[in-house]
Amino acid sequence: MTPVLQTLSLSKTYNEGPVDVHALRNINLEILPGEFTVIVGPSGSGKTTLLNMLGGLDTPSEGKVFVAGTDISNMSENELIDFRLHHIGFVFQAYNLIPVLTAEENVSFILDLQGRPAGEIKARAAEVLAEVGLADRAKNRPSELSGGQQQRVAVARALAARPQYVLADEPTANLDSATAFSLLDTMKRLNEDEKMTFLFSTHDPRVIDRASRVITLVDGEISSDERR
Amino acid sequence: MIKTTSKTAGLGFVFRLSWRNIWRNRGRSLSLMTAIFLGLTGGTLAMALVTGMMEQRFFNAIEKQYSHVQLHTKTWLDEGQAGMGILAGALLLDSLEGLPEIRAVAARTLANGLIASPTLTQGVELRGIDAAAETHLVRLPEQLIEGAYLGDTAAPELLIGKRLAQKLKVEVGSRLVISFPNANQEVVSGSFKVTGIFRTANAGFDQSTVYLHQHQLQALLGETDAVYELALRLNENDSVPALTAALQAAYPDLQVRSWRELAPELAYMQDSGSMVSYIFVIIILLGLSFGILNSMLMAVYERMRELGMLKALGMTKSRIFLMVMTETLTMALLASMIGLLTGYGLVAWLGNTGIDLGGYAEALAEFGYDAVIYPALSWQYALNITILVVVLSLLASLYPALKALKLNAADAIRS
Ligand SMILES: Nc1ncnc2c1ncn2[C@@H]1O[C@H](COP(=O)(O)OP(=O)(O)OP(=O)(O)O)[C@@H](O)[C@H]1O
Ligand SMILES: [Mg+2]
Repeated sequence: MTPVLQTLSLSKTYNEGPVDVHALRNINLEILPGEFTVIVGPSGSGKTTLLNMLGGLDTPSEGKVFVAGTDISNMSENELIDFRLHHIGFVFQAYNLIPVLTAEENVSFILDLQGRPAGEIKARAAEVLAEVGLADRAKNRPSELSGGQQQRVAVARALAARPQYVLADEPTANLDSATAFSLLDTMKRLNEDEKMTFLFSTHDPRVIDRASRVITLVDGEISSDERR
Repeated sequence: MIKTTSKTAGLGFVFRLSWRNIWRNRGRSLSLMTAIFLGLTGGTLAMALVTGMMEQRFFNAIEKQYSHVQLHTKTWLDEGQAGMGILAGALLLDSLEGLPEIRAVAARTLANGLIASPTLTQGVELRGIDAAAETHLVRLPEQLIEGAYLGDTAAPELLIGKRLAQKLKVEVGSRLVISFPNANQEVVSGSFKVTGIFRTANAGFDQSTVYLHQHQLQALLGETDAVYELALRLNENDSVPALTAALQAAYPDLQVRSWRELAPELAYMQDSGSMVSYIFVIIILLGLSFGILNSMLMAVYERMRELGMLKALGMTKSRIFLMVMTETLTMALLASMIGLLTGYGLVAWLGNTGIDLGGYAEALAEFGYDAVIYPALSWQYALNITILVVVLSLLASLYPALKALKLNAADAIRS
C-alpha cells in the first residue's frame, strides 16, 4: 500500500532566539491510508511542529515530506496554500470557526473555495454535518453551539472535501472528558465509515486506547511507534 | 496528482464574508459610515452652495449687466468724451441684428456727467437706452425695486440706482438735474423726474449709473442717432470667442470685447472653476481616509487568528486581500452613496426655496452676489466624488490588507 504521508530525515530547527532549538530531528515516518494515529509526548517535544510540517503549514529545515507521492517540502507559499485546500483537512485546538457564518457555511466554504458546484456543496455539507450529529444545528452560528459541537463542526469541515488525511492538533484540549471522548468516537467512526486517515496529537493518556497507532515524541525524536 | 483552484472559485464566499464582517462590529462600522455619510452630505452642500453662488454671479453679470459682447470706439474707451460715438452706429445695429448667433442687441448712447439733488452733486454715467430693447437684453424692468420702468417717451424720466438714491436722499417722484458737456464742449443740462429705482447685484454700478430715454440724451447732446455702445446677447456662450474675433476683424476701428475682457474676474472664476471647493471636499475625504485606515487596521488585528485559520485551510492571499478590500469599499461606497443622495436631495430642495441671506444682502451685493442663494450641482460632481472615494478607500485599506496577507498561518493559529 502506498503511504498517504511519508517523511524522509525530516528536521526542523528554529534559530530565532539566542540558541537554536532543534524541534524535530531526523523523523522518518509513513502513514498508511485509513490509519487512526495519535502523536503523544511531553510539552515541547515537537508535536505541533511535526503536524505543521505534515500539513504544509511550515517548511522543514532538512528532509522531505511526501503527500500521496508528491513532495511538498519545496513548494512556494502560494502552492502550499492551494495544496492544503485540496488535499489536507485541519482541526485546530481553538478558533476553528468563523463567528459570522452558520455551522453549515463554516463547513461549506472549503468547497466554495475549491469551486465546486452549488448543488454538490449543499448536499455534501448536509451529509457531513449529519455524520457528526449536527444536522439540526446547521443554521446556528458558533456562538450558539457548545465547545464540543463547535469542534464537531470543525471535524465536519475537515472531512467535507474528502482530503488525503485530517490533521488535528490537540482537538480535545479545550473539552471536558465526556465531550472529548464523544468527539473522539465520532472521529473514529468517520475513520471507519469514510475510510478517512486521521493524525492527531494529544496530551491526554485516556485517548490513546482509541488509536490504532501511537507515536511518541521525545525531544523532537520518535522514541516509540506502535501499531495495535 | 495536484489539484489547483481556478481564479474565480470562491469569490461568492469572499464577498459574502466581507459583507458579514461589516456587521460584525456594528458600532464601529456604523460610526465609520456615519462619518463618511456626514462628511459627504456636508461637502456636497458646501460645494453646491459655492457652485450656486458662482452660477448666480455669472448669470447676473451676463444677463443683467455686461451681455456677451460689447462694441465701443477706442477713443471713447480712452477719453470718454462726447462726440466719440460709433460712426453709423444705427446701421451697424441693424446689420448685427441679422446675424444668426445673436439673440438680442441694443444700442446705447452714453455720456459722463453730473447729477444734482437739492443737497448733493454726484458724478455719474448717463446711459441713454431704448427701453424696449433693454427689456430683452438685460431684463432692466426686473431690476427695479421701486417705481416704474421708463414709459412715456416724451416725459423726462430717469431710473437711478438704490445706492445713488440714498446718497442723493431722493425717492421716486423727485426731480433731479443732470448736466454734461456736449460734442461742442458746451455744458448742457436738463431736469428729470425719478420714475424708478433699481438695484443690481453690483453696488458700484448702482451708485454711478443713471438710465434715461436714448432720444432725450441724444437731443441734449445735439447728436441725433448717436450710438456709443452696442451690446450683444448671443444664443450660446460658446460662440462668444469666435464672434468676438470675427467682429474685431470686420471692424478694426472699434474695440470689440467679450464678457471675459469686460469682467476679467468672472473669466478667472470660470477658469479656476470649482477647484477651490473640490480641494475642500478632498480635505474632508482625506480625513475620512484615516478613519477608514484606523477602522480596518483594528478589524484586521482583531481577526488575526481567524485570518490565519483561513489561510491555513487554503484561502489564497489574493482572496484574503480581496476580502479586506471589499469590506472597506462596500462600507465607503454605501455611506458615500447615501451621503451624496442626501446632499443632492438637500440641494434640490434648497435649489427651489433658496437660502435667504437677506440680512447680508448689502454686503453680498458689494461682491456681486444675490441675497438668496440657490445651491446647484452638476452630476459630474457625484461621479468625481465617487471615483475619489473609491481611490482613497482603496489606498486607505491597502495597508491593513497587506498586514492581513503578511501573517504566518502557523503562528496565527498556535494558541
Ligand atoms: N516559532 C518557533 N520559534 C522558536 N521555537 C519554537 C517555535 N515553535 C516551536 N518552538 C519550539 O520548538 C519546540 C517544539 O515545540 P512544539 O510546539 O512543537 O511542541 P509541542 O509538543 O506541540 O508542545 P505542547 O504539547 O506544549 O503543545 C519547543 O521547544 C518550542 O519552544
Ligand atoms: Mg503543541
